[in-house]
Amino acid sequence: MTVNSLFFLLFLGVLYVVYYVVCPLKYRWMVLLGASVIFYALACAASPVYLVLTSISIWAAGIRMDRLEQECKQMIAEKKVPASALKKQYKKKKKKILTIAVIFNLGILLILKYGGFFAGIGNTLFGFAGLQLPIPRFLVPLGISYYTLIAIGYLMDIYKGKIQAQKNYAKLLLFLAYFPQMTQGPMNRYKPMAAQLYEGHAFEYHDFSYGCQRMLWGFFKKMVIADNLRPVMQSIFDQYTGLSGITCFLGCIYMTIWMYADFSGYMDIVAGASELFGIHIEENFRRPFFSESLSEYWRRWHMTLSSWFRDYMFYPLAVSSPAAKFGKLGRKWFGARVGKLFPSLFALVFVWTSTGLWHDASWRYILWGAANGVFIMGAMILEPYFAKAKELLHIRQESRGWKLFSIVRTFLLVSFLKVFPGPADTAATLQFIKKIFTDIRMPAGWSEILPGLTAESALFLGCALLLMFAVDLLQEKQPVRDTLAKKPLLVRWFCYFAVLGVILAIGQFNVSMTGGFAYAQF
Amino acid sequence: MEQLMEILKELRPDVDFEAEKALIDDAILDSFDIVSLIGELNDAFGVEIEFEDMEPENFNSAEDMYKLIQRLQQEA
Repeated sequence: MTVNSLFFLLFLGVLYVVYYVVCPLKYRWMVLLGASVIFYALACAASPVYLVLTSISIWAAGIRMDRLEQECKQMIAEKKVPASALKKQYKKKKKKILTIAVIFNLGILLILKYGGFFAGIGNTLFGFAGLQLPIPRFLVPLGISYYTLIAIGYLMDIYKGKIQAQKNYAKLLLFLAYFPQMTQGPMNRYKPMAAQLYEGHAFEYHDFSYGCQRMLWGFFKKMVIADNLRPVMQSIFDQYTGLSGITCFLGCIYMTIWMYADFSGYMDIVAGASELFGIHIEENFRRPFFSESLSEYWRRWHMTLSSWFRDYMFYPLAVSSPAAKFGKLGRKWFGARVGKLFPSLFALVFVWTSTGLWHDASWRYILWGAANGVFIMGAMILEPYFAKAKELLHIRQESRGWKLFSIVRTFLLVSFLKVFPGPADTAATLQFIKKIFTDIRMPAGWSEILPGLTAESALFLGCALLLMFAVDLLQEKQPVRDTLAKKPLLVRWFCYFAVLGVILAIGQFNVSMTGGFAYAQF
Repeated sequence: MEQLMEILKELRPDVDFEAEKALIDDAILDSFDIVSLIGELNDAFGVEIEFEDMEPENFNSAEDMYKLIQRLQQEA
């Protein structure tokens, strides 16, 4: 079952009736748990065992860390041993449990998703010595990259003392496997989600209305924009050898827009579906194409993944003792200004390699991660020189012209970086980059830059893109749904039916296993 | 507190650290600022700020940072 199928709408309808009509308030979280289990079974019949393994290990580790925390507090209250010594001792014990649980769960992810990739590297590196590891091919369970990180985040929060462990296994399973987040996130945090998931919600017309609106908008982005743009983009990446460099770069731009419409469309659908039950999941996008730098873009794009890497990987690594030593070396070699950036640079190397690998077990994604890291680190190091250049050229940082220039520059850079995931493999990526920079000529015509599109469908797609841009621009200033809610009834319903009409007229009704969603494959 | 204010002003001369109370919540300081700041604070005050201390409530204002430093100094 995918969220852009009629079956999903039927599933939601039945769930809605059971949740609000049949089940008492107190037990409504159980209905959500049942629905999540059914959703997961229908979406991914293979290997629910890994989800069970993760949830049980995380549940047990969480409870154990919580008990240690209580023990420590009790002993401090009894004042038998100095508090600081006790805290250190118990922190070590908690760290041990955290480490074991993280290694166990990351181990499952690494073996299932990356086993083949690393075995291949091992064979290449040590083939001369006769090493020939078998290449394992597992059926990777749906959503494993998402729920594993959600689970690790939950344990890290217990370790930090931000939350208490959930004692009820079924409730923890609901948090990890809540159906709207299961296929491709968002990576919700336990603290804002727990109360919402377990308290049980009474029917609210506002939730129903806003939930439906958001789902409708998500279907529009996915089915009208993403699914109509995908074949155009795919055609350019598949047949790039005969195309001009400009068309190749346009392919990268199409991919950037397609990914946004596809992924944020999915998020709108699941956030709306969750809102129907009174549960507000975390936002994953904040109009990323209005970013003025690559760093800002990553704070606005796939926000729950970025914040996960920041809180649970970047920060621990950047304040670790190896990072501090690296920082001292940096100061010695490059002076105080650049040296103090070194702990961040140290952590960024790991973060961007992992971000690349998280997306896919392939060299092109590692290169994509590395390229992102290089641009972000380069901007950090060169910042004073950029400031000096702006001063010399009399550029005001706050001027509208500079802001617009920065937004366009960031969009083009983000699009250029699609040269890594776009083409079929790493070799094609390198040829594709070469083509962009060396094959400078005008495209042959509309059929080259918009392959497979008729003039009519290109016009429709262009209008749909303009509408998405206009809504994002408006949302940047004020919440669109609140603005719409203040309009007269006729205006509101005209808008809803217009969007619905466009979806029915030119939307693509995909019935593939993952609904054609780009991020479901991660 | 004076020493802390000096470090903060050197890190970000454009920010009014006496007035700002939501340095993290309002994204005035980013993650790179925080990491640089932690290195400076560790060296200047002889403390060891660890990742579990890296929470918005410890860095939202100069007073919050000062309280964190005092707590860590007491615990050391």
